[in-house]
Amino acid sequence: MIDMLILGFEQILNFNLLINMFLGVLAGIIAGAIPGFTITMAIILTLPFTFAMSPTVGIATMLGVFVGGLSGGLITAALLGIPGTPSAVATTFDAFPMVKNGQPGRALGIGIWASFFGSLLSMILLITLAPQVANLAMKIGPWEYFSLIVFALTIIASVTGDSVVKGLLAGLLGLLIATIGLDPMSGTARFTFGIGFLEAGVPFLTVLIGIFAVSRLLTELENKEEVKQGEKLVTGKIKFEIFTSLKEVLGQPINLIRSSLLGALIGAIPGAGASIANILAYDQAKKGSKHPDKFGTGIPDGIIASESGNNSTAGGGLIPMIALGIPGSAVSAVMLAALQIHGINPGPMLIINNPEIVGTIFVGFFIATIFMLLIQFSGARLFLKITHIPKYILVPTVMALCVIGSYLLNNRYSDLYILFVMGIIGYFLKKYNFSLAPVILGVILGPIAETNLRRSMMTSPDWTLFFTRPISLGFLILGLLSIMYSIWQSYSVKKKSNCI
Amino acid sequence: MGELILGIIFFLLSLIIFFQAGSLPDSSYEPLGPAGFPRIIVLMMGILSFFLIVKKIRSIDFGKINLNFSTIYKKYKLIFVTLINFLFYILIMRFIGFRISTFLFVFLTQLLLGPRDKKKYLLISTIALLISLGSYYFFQNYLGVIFPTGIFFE
Repeated sequence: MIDMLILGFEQILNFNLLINMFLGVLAGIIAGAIPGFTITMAIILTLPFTFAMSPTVGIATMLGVFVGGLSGGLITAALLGIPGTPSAVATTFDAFPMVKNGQPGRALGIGIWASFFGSLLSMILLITLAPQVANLAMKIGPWEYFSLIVFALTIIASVTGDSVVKGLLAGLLGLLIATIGLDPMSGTARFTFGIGFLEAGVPFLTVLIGIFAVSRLLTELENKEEVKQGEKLVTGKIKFEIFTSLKEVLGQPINLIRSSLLGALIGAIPGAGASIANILAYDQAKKGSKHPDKFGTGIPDGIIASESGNNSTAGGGLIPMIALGIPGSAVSAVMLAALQIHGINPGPMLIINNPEIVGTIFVGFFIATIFMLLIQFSGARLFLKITHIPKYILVPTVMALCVIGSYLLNNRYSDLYILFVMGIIGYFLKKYNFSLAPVILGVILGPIAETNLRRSMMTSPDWTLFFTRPISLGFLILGLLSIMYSIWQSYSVKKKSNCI
Repeated sequence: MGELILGIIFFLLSLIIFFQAGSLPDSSYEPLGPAGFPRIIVLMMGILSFFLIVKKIRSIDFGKINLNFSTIYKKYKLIFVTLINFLFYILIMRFIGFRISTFLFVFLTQLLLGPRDKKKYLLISTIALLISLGSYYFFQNYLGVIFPTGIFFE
């Protein structure tokens, strides 16, 4: 292992490689901050550039984009309340309220440090746990997958906001939106109501941009007088103290480690990823907290959980890729493709045949994380200026960016109609206190849940398998516990507030 | 009141989808078929929205409801204006192209939302120009995105 790390350092300490990696991190952060521009897209766009590079330089550059992208979503999520990537959805829950309380510098600082430590912890896990976790991930069949998704769906019960019924309705709406279009198994068109373009389905990112971004922007316009006078998101002087936020993040070691572990584990399971990890980590932080009622009001705990949870999926996602040659996410699939283009065969033999590649990934991951920290901190003062732009300029400009983001996803004009409708739906849901996160969870998890449920029923119509296969049963029990715990927690919070 | 209306919409939606799902073909090799999963969803949705409707009907004082469109319009004027601009932006983009429609949307919406101050005109037109042309050339040249060009540039 030590030899491999030394080999990795030898490869990395190369000026050309470091420059490419730095640019990769920068590009990743910018891409991550633009709503609609996903990390996967950024990595795919990097792929052609890596053809001309050596395999180690190519992989290092892609790692840079990956790590940068995961932390870039934080900027818009915190400062505008609009998740730049799906992996930053839970960051908006506490970071944006903190910004609204007049502390944008604190929100951004905590987010950056949490991303840094999440990344770092997942790297340590990557190096030490790669083979073990990969083995567990291999045991996952459709039954386990469906039960895992059921477990993930139970998170909805704890992100419901003020009413469980409304939160569940929002989650069901998300699940329903995901069924529009061609059925994933048989190819039958479902619920298109004769509208041709709906056959292609409703893209998840368009839902995300519409529900979160457009609705958020419309909400900002509710106070007519203030907007007319050029009101800004944050008034007053912005404080940005790097070391104070470092102290705040390190003051919550349990939250940090738990969220990073969860992120790494979810990252390692093929198909799941950062978009689920951030919400799951947030949920677990809330459940483990002594003051769960304060979540959502702008406390550091929520930001730390979400940002360390999403960044640590990077290391987790690389575990099955290195150990088994199986991509844990779309991003690592593109990285595998890049290796294959250079004639390197990923798989269990990679560690033996190409130790320099594995070493580069290990060490490169660390260097990319350091670059991310440097770029984020040097750019932070510039990013923070966003909150001083008057709303009458901010709203139309970001709306135009939302249109661009939704369009460039598929180069499809009809997605813009979907964006408009989703924006209105999101606005009304928000206006009447329906929580928005369950919609997104529903849209992400719906197709995975349906496909695996149907696949397992096709393999064997015996539904008791969900309960007799140990890992599947384990996930279902976790799901049940998670629901019971959220109900108990909300009950005890209500009781406490009645006593006061 | 809004929650009641949303509850009714959810309820109607679940009814429509439930019956729509009935027209989907069955599959001989697969027990659930394309209709199974959506039906599970709308069944739960129907029950929950029914709860919401009953709860809200009990708590609403129907005498106090004011459905005067002009007061609602006045209160939410900026949102209406922005949404109408947004809709037009999307609708006319395929005719006049991405550049002109984006410029018009960003410029006009800033103008309508912002303070009446002639000094700001230069600022808002510069921003509109930067967003429309900047994003067009960046995404087109570097990322190969093909935006609608419109009749003026064909």
